[in-house]
Amino acid sequence: MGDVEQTPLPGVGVRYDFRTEAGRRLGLVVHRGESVELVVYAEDDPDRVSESLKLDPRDVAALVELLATPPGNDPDARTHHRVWRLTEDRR
Amino acid sequence: MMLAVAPAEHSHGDTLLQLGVVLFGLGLVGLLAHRVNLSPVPLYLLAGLAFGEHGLLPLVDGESGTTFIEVGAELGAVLLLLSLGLEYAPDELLAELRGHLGPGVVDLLLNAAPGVALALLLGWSPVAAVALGGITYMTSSGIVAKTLADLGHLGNRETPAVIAVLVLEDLAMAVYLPVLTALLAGLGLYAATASVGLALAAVVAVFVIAIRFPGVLARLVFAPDDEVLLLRVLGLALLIAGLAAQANVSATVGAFLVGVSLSGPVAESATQLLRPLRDLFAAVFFVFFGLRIDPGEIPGVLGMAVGLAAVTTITKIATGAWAARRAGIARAGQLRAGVALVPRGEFSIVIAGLTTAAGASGTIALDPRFGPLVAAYVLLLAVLGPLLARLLDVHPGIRGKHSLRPAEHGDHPHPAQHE
Repeated sequence: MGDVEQTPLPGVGVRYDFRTEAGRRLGLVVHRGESVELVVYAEDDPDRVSESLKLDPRDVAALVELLATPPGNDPDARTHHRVWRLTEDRR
Repeated sequence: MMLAVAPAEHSHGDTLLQLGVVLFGLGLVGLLAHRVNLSPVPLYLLAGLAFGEHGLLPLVDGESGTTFIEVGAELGAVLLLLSLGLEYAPDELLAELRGHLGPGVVDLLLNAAPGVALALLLGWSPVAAVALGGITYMTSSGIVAKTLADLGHLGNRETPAVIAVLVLEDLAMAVYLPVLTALLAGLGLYAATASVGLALAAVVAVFVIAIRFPGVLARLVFAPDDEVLLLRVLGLALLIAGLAAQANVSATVGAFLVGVSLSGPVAESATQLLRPLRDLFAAVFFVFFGLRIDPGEIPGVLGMAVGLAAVTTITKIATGAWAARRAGIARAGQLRAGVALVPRGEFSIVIAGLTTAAGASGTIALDPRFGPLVAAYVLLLAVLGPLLARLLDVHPGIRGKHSLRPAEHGDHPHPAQHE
């Protein structure tokens, strides 16, 4: 895979993106506050987001757990979950 | 249809009644904006035009209602700029300034020129030319941010170039507004230079303090309680804005600097606390600008407004395209970046509001067509700008050659869910 690029978006948050092994661009827009946007870039125009998914902290926690191997046993994933839970409760 | 009761018996009830009618009217109009997923700014302006003395529904008479609305409008301008400042941290602004000075200068030259040129062609005063140049220069960052979020374009790779142009405009405004304020106050050269110098010194001081001693100002206003934090931040912003106004330095720039100087968690909480207040008073602000304009004057300036809008649409597209190209973005992205920057809105009205207020109080001579021209111009671009971006997004022909995949039209089926 390509390097992960980090781009500040003043007033919005930070964008991270990289080229997957298969050649597509995948990224995250981390908004200030809590929400995260998972973005997939178009095949014909690598500058354009063709699909964007808004992820709630719970979605993020679930995704992190699913991606971590083995699912559910990684202490890091559980920590994330707990952190998100805490931020959740504060709202 | 005058709702105002007989002028002889002005009571508190009149003010409440008029304000209630105006706000309720805005609520109805706002719902419409939400339904069609448009920025409410142009509709608030239209409401102001309709409710004014010469409008279709003159709900606000000249005397009793307007004083409160006037104060509310002033608060609205302060809150708009305070919220804008809160979005940025000083080091972020400086980094953008260093990295994107080129596009910033091109943006200023290309987009202020048409406004300045039109004013001079019409034989208006140099002050009016400076104002109209600012009006055509400033893109509406509120409308752009909403359109980018609605279209799911925040992650697009040309978006940082778009944001950089917006940030540079906001920084330029911190210099431009004090200059305009001094010109509008009709100060002599010495006094004008002194007040502009004071403003610039304040800008530099805020950046130095905020970067050298991060968190000092945040600690000053920090409070564990939301209510106390709200009062402190708003109080500080109004205090600085008031002091700035007394020194003939732009009040709104004072508020902007207070916002910039606060960053981190305090800024985030303050942003959320201030949002409803800002929305309320910003609405009043747009209405107030519309109230003072005779809609009957608009047809006479419509041709000019359309021409100016057309020219400054092209200059903005060129600016954005060049900025994106410089960032290594391909053709399609360059066009998207250009089109994204087309909307004009709140800042143009802030500039026009200051100018028409100075014209109304007689400190400068202002052509009566100025207000109607700006209203028509902003109405056009606040509506057409986002529309153009949407058209570009759905039109398969412009998107590229391989966009026949059926999924493309369903990219963002629920744009309304982003606020």
